[in-house]
Amino acid sequence: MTEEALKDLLYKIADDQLILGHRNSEWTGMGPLLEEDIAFSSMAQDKVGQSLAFYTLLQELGEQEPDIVAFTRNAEQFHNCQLVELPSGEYDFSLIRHFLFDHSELIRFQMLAECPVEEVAQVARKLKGEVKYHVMHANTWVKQLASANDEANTRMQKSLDYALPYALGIFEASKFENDFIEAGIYPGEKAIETKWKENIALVLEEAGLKLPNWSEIKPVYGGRYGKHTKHLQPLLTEMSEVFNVDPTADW
Amino acid sequence: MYGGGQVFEPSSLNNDLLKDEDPKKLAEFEARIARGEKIEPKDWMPKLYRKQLIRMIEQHAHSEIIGSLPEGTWITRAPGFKRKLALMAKVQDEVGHAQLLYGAAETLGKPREQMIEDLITGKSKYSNIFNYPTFTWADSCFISWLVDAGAIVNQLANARGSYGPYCRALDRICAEESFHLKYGHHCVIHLATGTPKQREMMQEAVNRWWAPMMHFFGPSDKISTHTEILTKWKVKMATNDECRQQFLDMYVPKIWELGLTIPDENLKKNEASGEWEFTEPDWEEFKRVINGDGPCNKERIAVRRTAEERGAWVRRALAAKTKGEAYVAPMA
Amino acid sequence: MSEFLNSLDPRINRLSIPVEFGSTFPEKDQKDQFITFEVFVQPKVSKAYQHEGIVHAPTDEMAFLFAKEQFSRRGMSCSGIWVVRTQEIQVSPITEDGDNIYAYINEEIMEGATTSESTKYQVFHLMKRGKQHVHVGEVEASSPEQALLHAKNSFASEKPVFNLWIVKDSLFMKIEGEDFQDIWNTLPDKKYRDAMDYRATEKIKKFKAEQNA
Repeated sequence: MTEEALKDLLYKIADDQLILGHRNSEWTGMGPLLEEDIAFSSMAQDKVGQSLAFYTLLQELGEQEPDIVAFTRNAEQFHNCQLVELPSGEYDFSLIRHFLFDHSELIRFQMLAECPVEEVAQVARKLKGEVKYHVMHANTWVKQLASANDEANTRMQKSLDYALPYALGIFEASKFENDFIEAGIYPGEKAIETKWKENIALVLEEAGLKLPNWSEIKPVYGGRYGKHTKHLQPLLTEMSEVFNVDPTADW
Repeated sequence: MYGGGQVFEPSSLNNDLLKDEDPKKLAEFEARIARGEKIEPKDWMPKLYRKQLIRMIEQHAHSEIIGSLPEGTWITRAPGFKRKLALMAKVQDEVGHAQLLYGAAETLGKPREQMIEDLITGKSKYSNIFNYPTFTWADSCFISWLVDAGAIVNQLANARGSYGPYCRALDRICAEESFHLKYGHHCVIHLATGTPKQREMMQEAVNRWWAPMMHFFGPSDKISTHTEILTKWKVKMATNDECRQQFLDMYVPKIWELGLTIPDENLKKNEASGEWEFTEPDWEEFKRVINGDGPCNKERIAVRRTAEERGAWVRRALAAKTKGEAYVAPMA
Repeated sequence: MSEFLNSLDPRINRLSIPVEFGSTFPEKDQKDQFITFEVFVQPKVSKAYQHEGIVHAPTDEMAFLFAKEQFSRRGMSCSGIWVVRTQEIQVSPITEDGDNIYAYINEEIMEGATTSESTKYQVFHLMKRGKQHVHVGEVEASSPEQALLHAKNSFASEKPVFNLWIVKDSLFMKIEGEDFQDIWNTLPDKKYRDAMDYRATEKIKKFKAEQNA
């Protein structure tokens, strides 16, 4: 496995976390319930912090420093899946996205915790505790809301139906899939996808939400190769607005 | 962070409420306070005390939640990881402080949802300084440093007040504030000692925010409503002027040492008296803004109302499972 | 004129908030008020649990999550959290003038007490008005009244206790021990929350030096 392959993996992980953390931070101060506002904000910080950990790994591999990498690249240079760049919408969408993404992230970190690249394994081991709680939070909320009343169930179902094609984009194959599997880095995206489908099915059934036939869903790919929705560039422009007043300045 | 400048309207200090109180109980209550003992939720207390405390703690809580908005404006645009993470944490803390403070006010018998409703309908107020806009990143840094500094001056005074739950909440809040103040100062230092563009941004922010900052601690003592009973009851722990002087003494030198100027040519410390002299703030402007005519009043409440309305379906769904459980006030 | 609020905050502009709502905010008769839970925090493994505040939540599960988020945001001072419904806490009266609440607890209180199976109770003391209730230990008893008596035997001393809380141990939700170890793992790493991480005296010195040059 080459360094290029490893960087590809780390970039997509970091980009997912940064963009999702950024989206989720939009809810701070405007959540549906004070205590939940605080909780969601914590998780957004965790995500941004996690992305920093991965960008730091990338820096150790020769990439530029995290601030430059995060705040000066354009949309076509980002490798996040399209799911995370979609607008925050209402709370049902943000919760469903949190649920779908964090389940995949937990599996990914559990796998990477065993990876032979020690630096990566260390980060994964440390951070999987955080993601474990994010998943717990997501499970509790999805079950609580979807089983509460018709209004909530309908909303959650609609958001789920909308998000699923994009969620499958998390598992878009990298051109280095075989390299990762051969080098024992992790079993590859298909493996995460399979486990993910099992895990979410259990919770969704308990919640009273319907999963369509997977063969009926057309995954939305492209994110991993720099093809994004119209939402990403404005997000990045906003995120780097102050930084780009002077990228060399010390803020 | 919170805001100062408690506006005690004359009618709210209706001493008629006191006339009906049992004089023996009142005397014992006042003696306890004079001894320096805290009042706890189950103690007997005069109606006026309960009313004033609810108003004060509630106002403080509202200030935290509304106060999260001007800084929150810059969360998605914070420059660099360090600032991004810190600002997210700081604003989250403010929401957390609101949660703690609503809890303290609830011990006096007013449910949190009622307080939130009163904020949105305009029945309850919040600190006036948050009715101003944060035009640039530097404006948010000004708030993070100096408005927080002002809030800490107030909080440290109030932490010695008479009501137990409020003091306990303030203890927890003060512990978290040290990071806020350091963060804010750090940001301002970087701007003020940075590139010419950064320095300019910071100076302009200071020019914009100085007047609201001078309003922050409330009208000057000589034109303030009489609040002697609140001082006796240790509800109001320091006068507006005392707080303002303390703030100026601690922070004007720190602002000047960064090469920033303050838009008040009369601002100077009288070495003989030790008091800071300054141009008398425009108290008519203060009154106008606090009564609804400021640049952001409408927006702040509109955002709060929108957050509540968008979250209504969530709370409905959560309540669907708990219907019937009676409300229980927090214990302490 | 735009029908939507034009804010300096791009997040708010994305919400398309109307300039005029066209109606007053409806005041509800039934407020969305959730259950109140008291939260106790253990700052360090060697220290006692102490009351810190409340959360409102619709269910136990959510109270548990909320308490974790609200009361361990500052990781450097949290190693365990206990959560219990406010209404499950049994409270003694508050004493005056240095009176010890235990002085009022005698065999007489057992009169009329309903006994059941013996179970654990946790005991909390308030040592001074204005402080927080602190955990002192647990007792086994077959009624709250008996728990009070046992508490007196185990925990009373010369120092007057102002107020007592006792709670059946089985009613607590607890976040502590091995199973939850990873919840506190990354908290000390979050240096951006630590005032110590924000030192800039060197910058100020350098700036002053340049100004004077």
